[in-house]
Amino acid sequence: MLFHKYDILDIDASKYSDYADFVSQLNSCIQKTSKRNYDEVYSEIKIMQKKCDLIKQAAIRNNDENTANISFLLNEYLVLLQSIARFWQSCDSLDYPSAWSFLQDGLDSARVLGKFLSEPNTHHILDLKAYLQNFEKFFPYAYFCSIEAVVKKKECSICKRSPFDPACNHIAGNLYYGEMAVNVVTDMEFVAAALVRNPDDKRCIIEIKCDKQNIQSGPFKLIHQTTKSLVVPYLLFEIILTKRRMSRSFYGNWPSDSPCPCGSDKKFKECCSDKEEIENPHYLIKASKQLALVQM
Amino acid sequence: MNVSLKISNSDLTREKLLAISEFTEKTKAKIQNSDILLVPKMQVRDSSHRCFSAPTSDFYKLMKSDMSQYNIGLCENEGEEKTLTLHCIEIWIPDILVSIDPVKDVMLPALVSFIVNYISYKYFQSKDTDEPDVHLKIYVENKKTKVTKSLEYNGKYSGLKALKINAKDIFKE
Repeated sequence: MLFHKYDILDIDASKYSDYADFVSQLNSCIQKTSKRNYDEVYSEIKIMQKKCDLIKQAAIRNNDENTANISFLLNEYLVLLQSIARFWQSCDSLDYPSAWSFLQDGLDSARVLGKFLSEPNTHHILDLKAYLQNFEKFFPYAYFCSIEAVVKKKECSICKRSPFDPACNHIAGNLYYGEMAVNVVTDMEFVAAALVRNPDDKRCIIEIKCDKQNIQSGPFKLIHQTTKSLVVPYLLFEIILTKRRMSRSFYGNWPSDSPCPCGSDKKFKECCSDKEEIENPHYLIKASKQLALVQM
Repeated sequence: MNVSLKISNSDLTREKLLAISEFTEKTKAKIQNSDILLVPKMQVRDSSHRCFSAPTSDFYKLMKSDMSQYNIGLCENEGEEKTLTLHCIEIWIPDILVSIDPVKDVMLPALVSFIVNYISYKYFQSKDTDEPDVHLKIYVENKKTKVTKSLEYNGKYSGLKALKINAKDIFKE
């Protein structure tokens, strides 16, 4: 079981004319997102995705699977940049539930890139993944809906056969001539739904109302404060977890059946409600560097 | 490290699988002739579906390629394979039935080694650093006595890597 890794800086890809200027255009997308010129970012990404497709088609004609797969990864990098732009645009318009979905899109792309790249931090992918994971911590979502289902029929996205068909030799999640093999479910029966903390897909959230008029006191206040304090997209940051002691009176009429603010996962009445001071988790955000350069 | 392997008696045997009337002659031939047989769960909650765990098709393909010295079969009629998708980031290895001679066995260590490699190949290239739980069930049939024991592992991947299975110990009373 040898896993094929790719180098998106592979010079073979530079033989393809559409590959020229790709890196400076990636850089331009990052800079334009930093300046919040989102529409320009989206139209540039669209043009670059067309270039990726041209590279892929040319590679397929040349029977060059390596370059075809690199074009897939370049496209995935564009999806990552687009997701970050959409995340910030949603935050700017205080639409934090949508921002959460774009955050997940970006993380999915970062995971795919991390899986296939021989040098995992190529184009700062690990930095970007950590950047998005840091934002995740400030959203109010802790439990997620998830279904259990019996899949009666599925087909391989590459050969259209059942993945159990001996003639299908594709492994889901692997790349084949610029396409990722996935199993497409065509018939399934719902069995059950559950609330879980570690879902396969974090997009299925329990909806929390996002009141834009009272964002400072609502459940999205942490992500709101974080994005406002960072000011500029692509300013990478780290989170330092500390403890802060607050007087019991600070919590006023904190509901006794609600989770204790100390973060113990116990009910307040069974934990700190009788204490004079309550120690709670406190996050310090430390800006590190502005991501600007994509080196080739 | 706490490595928890639960060994218990099981009533799953090849004879019992052969008695399932829905299985075609081709499926029954696979049940009889496979060194390593991937078996579905016979019932999922209240439904009557026989279901394999979600990644079974990939597991089967990779196993056929990596353990080509063994005859590997899927205990289901062709075209009727169903899978169960579950909701968490947890790794459900397909249930496996093997028949061994406990004194001479070399298959079980090879099987566990394959499963460890499979998980690394399939899951640890892309997922986050948190280690997901692994669920594994191997039915081991003693070729001579026809007694079947089930080996069940539910725990972290690191625990599975550290697992040492001695076939002789499984059948010790």
